[in-house]
Amino acid sequence: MKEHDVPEEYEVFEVFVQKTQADFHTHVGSIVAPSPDVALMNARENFLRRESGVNLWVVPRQCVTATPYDTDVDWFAREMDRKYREAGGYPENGRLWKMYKERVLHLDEIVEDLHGEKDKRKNESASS
Amino acid sequence: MHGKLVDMVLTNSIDRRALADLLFQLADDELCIGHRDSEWLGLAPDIEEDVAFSSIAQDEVGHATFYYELLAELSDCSADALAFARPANERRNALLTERENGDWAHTIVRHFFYDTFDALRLEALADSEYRPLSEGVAKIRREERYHLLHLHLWFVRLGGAGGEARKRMEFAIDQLWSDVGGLFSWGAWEEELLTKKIIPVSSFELQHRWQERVRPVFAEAGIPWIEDLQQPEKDGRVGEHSPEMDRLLLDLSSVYNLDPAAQW
Repeated sequence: MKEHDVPEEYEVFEVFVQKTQADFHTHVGSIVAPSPDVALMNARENFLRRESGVNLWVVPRQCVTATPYDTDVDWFAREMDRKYREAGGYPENGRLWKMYKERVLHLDEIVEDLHGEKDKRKNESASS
Repeated sequence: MHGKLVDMVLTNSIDRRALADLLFQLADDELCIGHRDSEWLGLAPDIEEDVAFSSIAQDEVGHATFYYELLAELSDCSADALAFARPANERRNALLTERENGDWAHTIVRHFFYDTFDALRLEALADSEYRPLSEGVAKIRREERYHLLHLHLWFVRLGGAGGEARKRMEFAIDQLWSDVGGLFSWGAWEEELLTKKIIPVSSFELQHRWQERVRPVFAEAGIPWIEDLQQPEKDGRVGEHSPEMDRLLLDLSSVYNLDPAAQW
């Protein structure tokens, strides 16, 4: 490395840890370092000293394109009702389906069910 | 626990003493360098390095603990007593590891020299006929890999930076070079250890490998290579130490000495 290549100022690096190969890289914090290789080296001890991981990213903060905090407050505006976008009902389905399946059937319901099958087959053979 | 090895190697008292001597070299080296590293706590060049270097210090002391526990199984002493209660003339660490910390360049140079040596020593011991050691060494080598990467990066950066950093690096190398030769000694029992294949590599070969590995890093850092390695004036591997070692032990054992029988 030539002398003039050595950065005089430290830089902020955002650190991302991938816990297993099946996981996303997750942002865990930031560190200050004079170069990406030093950042990577120190990120290991600063963020994986007790935790485990399979991969590390360090990204210079200045490379991140971000939304503004206060100059454009409407960027995140949510004024109208957006309940229709929420998928809130689905978690209930498992429980309801189980309840339905576990319900004790009466004898006439079983008979009706069998007849239903027979009628269906009769209809199918008639139509073919 | 390690009954089999007793049958295999420790058939007579000379082998037992040779093996214990080797384990003391490993344990005392790691404890001294770990202690010196730990003295940087709060003082490293930046907060990130402070955390990283302290973590390395803890690793080194952890490795020392592993060796002291092997020794405790071979003797009647506890690992703590072996680590804290032995006088300087019973210590088997190389002088390089006991030297007082200088500036950051001194620490980087010393640790890089030591870690390169330790990597080669562990590489050799991975083939030791003494199974408890070769098995433990396999784990320790995986941790030391990162230490060496870390120190290598610093060594090359400070050397390549020029200016004051480069000047300090050259001064530190000058200061420490006379201690390097003392790393490679296997102590008073090298013949016995080699014969029993507890160590598979001679100290001469170890020194040769170290030079082969460090020379290209000097080139990478733009620092002129020094051909000659000197024989050390004092051989730490046979219990000869500097006054710096007495001060280290005083500091290291200060809490232990308040009450050696205390239960922690």
